[in-house]
Formats: sequence, structure tokens, C-alpha cells
Amino acid sequence: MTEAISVRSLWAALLAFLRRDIRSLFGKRIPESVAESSPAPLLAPHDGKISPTTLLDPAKLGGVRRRRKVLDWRDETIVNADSAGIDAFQDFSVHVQDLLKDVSIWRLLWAKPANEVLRVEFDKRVRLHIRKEMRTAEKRLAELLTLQDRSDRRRPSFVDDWPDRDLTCIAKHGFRPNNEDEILSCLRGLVMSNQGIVPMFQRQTISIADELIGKVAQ
Amino acid sequence: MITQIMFEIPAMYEAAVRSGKVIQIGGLLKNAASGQIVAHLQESGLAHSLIGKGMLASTNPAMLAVSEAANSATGIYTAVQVKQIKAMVEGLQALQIATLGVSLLGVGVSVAGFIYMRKRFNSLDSKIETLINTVNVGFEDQRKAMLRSHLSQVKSLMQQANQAPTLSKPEHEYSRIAESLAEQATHFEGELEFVMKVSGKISSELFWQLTQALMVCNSVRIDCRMRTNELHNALTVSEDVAQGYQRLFGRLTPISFDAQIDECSSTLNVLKDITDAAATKPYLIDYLRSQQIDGRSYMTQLEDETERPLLMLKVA
Repeated sequence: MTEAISVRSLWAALLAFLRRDIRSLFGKRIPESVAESSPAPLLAPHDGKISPTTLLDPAKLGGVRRRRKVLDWRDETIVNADSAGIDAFQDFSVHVQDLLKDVSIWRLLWAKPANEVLRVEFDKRVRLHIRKEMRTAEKRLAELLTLQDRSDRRRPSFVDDWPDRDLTCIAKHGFRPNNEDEILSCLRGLVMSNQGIVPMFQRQTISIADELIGKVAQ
Repeated sequence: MITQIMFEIPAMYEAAVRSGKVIQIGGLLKNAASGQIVAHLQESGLAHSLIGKGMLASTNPAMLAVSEAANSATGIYTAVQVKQIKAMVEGLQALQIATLGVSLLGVGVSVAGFIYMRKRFNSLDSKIETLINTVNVGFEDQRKAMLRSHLSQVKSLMQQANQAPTLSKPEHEYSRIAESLAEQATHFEGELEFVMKVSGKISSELFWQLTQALMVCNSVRIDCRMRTNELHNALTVSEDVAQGYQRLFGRLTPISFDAQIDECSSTLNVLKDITDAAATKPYLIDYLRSQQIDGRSYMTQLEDETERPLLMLKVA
């Protein structure tokens, strides 16, 4: 009799095992598709296993805010660099046109290379203008990091790695009115083209922001 | 389970935000001193219908700046709706939120209002269709066909979600739709990655339309999980969505797009607001879960709201 009961219970256990949902044999993680195959009653607590206390730490919200501030700084700096470049080049173009109007007859025949004539003024009107914008951006960033109480020992800064300092791109053009378009086109490229001063500044901005956001994430 | 939720209005928090005692992060307010969450911002179904209507008229993200919203609203809205939009704009301004983008899809739990979502998606569908034909972004014919197919599938899922309440037991249907939308969201995320990787500037308009498609999918799938009271799952999904938006949108800068730099900045501000709102959404769902607030009741109450487009859920 006892043996019969034991065989029956063994058989029942085997049946129960065979009927068992095979998915329950694997870990606790329930995939999305499985979770939804047995919809929970709408007004009942989930399954009793989930803690009623909060699962997320509000302290981590500070990271969201810091990240946003850095992104805002990055985007504002990029926009400011763009307008600084456009304004500076506009101002410099007017200056070049004024100079070209005053070229003497002698210099029309034996023109100086354009870079010799323009290098100093280009530094003063374009490079310094953009450098000023870079320093302003650095200052804003320093204020931001101070507000965020960041203990970074090294504060990120821009590198004055100006492309084509000697304006060699216009060295082949004589400084005379009939070369105005070529000269200005080359210089516009030096300021705004992909390898120009402004995009270089913008790439550095993105790189600094990425570095800071990486630190925020840590 | 709690089935009646007491909401407040954003204006009640204006003074605290202005004084700096309370700070806004995405869709929530935090006590500046203690760091504790004070309240969650939540859109109602009314917000969705108002914004949805505006979005169908224009899909330019730049129009979503708060200050421009009331002006741009007058042409397509009734006097009552204009008043409601102004209330929404004032609510966002009270909390110092810069764009209506957060209300687009959305702050708080996405109370999708499937009918509006469907209308919006139909509008998106036709715009994307035009864009992939006119914008040269390297879409081959096969890829275009695939995109069309996914757009059709999402439209169909929206329709099914809209019809689900008429089922005797809609829970399973909502779960199925959520699962399918997860797959669709992955597809649109992949398309966005593709558009971003193609050399040169990103087509801002195509990017924006695809982004909306992605956000519609994510919003509705979270909505569906809420309706089946799967709050723990909704929380996990919303965390994944938030991480996805950070990864995807955080790389974009004002020089990433083919549009004017100022216009790109506006688009980016909307995307940043949306990213922040997505990052704080899990905290709201976690709060609902921890307070044992019934997900379906919560959604129903938001959908039934007819006067206030934005609400605050005070943290007890």
C-alpha cells in the first residue's frame, strides 16, 4: 500500500514536472514577451516580489542636470564660434576691399604676395576675434564647472593650434584688385571650411564636452 | 491599489522654481537643498490633442519654442483651445521649460491618446515618404521599401491600440502591441543611426520625422504597459528608452544638420528637452509603482482630463 502511494506520488511529481513551463527552469529574468503572456489582474499588486519602495536613486538626477548644462555650453559655444567667424571674416573682407582700392599703380604691376600684405591684419581682425570667443567660452565653462562643484584638477581649455598661420594659401596671389575674389575665397575657406579655424574650434568644443559628459556618466 | 490620483497645477510651483528652492530636471521638480523629488510633471490627454493638432499643421521643431506656440496656435485652434494652449505654455514657463517638445511625446507617462497618435503617424508617414524620395541620404530602393513597410506596420498597430478598449479583455492585446512596437522602435533607431552615419550633413527634416516615428513607438509601448499595469516592465522600458535617446541625440550638435545653425539649435533644444524628460520618466513610473497606483486608472484619469493640459503629481 505504502509502495503504491509512493509510486503514485512519484508519478504525480513527474507529471507536474512535465507540465512545468520550461521557461521557469531558466533564471529569474523574464523576457518582455513572456511577461505579457500572463496579464496581471488590473487592480492587484504585481506579484508580491517587487519591492514597494523606490528602485531608482534620486541622487542620479544630478548627472542628468550636469549633462544638460554641458551640452548647452557645447551648443552655445558652437553657435557663437560660427557667428564670430562670420562676423570677423565680414569685417576683414571690407578691410581687404578698402586696401585693394588704394593699391598704387606701381603695385598693380609688381604686386606683393597677398599673405605678406594681409597677415598682420588677419591675425588682428580674425584670429584674435575668434580667440576672444574661445576665451569667453572657457570662462563660461569654468563658471559652470565651479557651480557643479567639479573637482577636476585639469580644467579643459582650447588649444591655439591655428591652421596656416602664414596664410600660405594666398601666397601665390599678388595683392591687386583683379585677385580679390580668389584671395577672399581662400581666406573664407581658411576661416569656415571643414579644416578651417572655426570648425577646428568647434571640434575642440565637442571633444571637451564629450570628455566632461564621460566624467558625468562615471 | 490606488485608483484616484490627486493632481496639482504647475503654477503652484512657480514661486519655488523662481526662487531656486526647487529645480526642474526634465519632467520633475527636485528640492535643491535635500535633493528629494518634489513633484512630477504630467501631460494629460488634452495636451496631446492640442499639440497633436499643431504638429499636424507644422512639423518644424523650431515652432515648438514656448514663446512662439501661442502665436502660431491662433490659426488652427478654436478660442477655447487657444486658451488651453496658453495654459499649457504658462505651465511650462512656470517650470522654466523652454520648449513644447517635451509635451510632444511627452512629459510624464505618455498618455498616448491612440487616436491622436494614429493621426500623427499618418501625417508622419506621408512626410517621410516624400522626404526619402527627395532627400539624397543614400536610401536605396530596398531600404525605402523596408521603411515604408515598417511605417505601415506601426500605423496598423496604432489602429489596433485604438480598437483594443472594445475587446472584453484588452490586456493581452496591449501587451502584444507593446512587444511589436519595441521591434518597430528598434528599426527606427537603426534608421536614425543610418541617417547619422551617412557622410555629410544630416537632413534635419528627415531626421526629425524619423525621430518622431521612434518616439511615437516608444511612447505608445510604455502607454500599453501602463494600461496592463506592468509598471515594473514600463519602468525598465522607459530606462532603456532614456539611455537610447541620450546615446542617439547627445552626439548631435548645431553643425550636424543641413539647415541654418540657428534652426538647428532650436531642433537640438527640443531634442535635449525630450532626452531629459525621457531620463526622468522612469522616476515617475517608479513612484507610481512604489505607491501602488493602478496604471490603468492613472492613464484613464489623464485621458479624461478636459480642462488642464499639464498636471503635477505631488510626491508624498
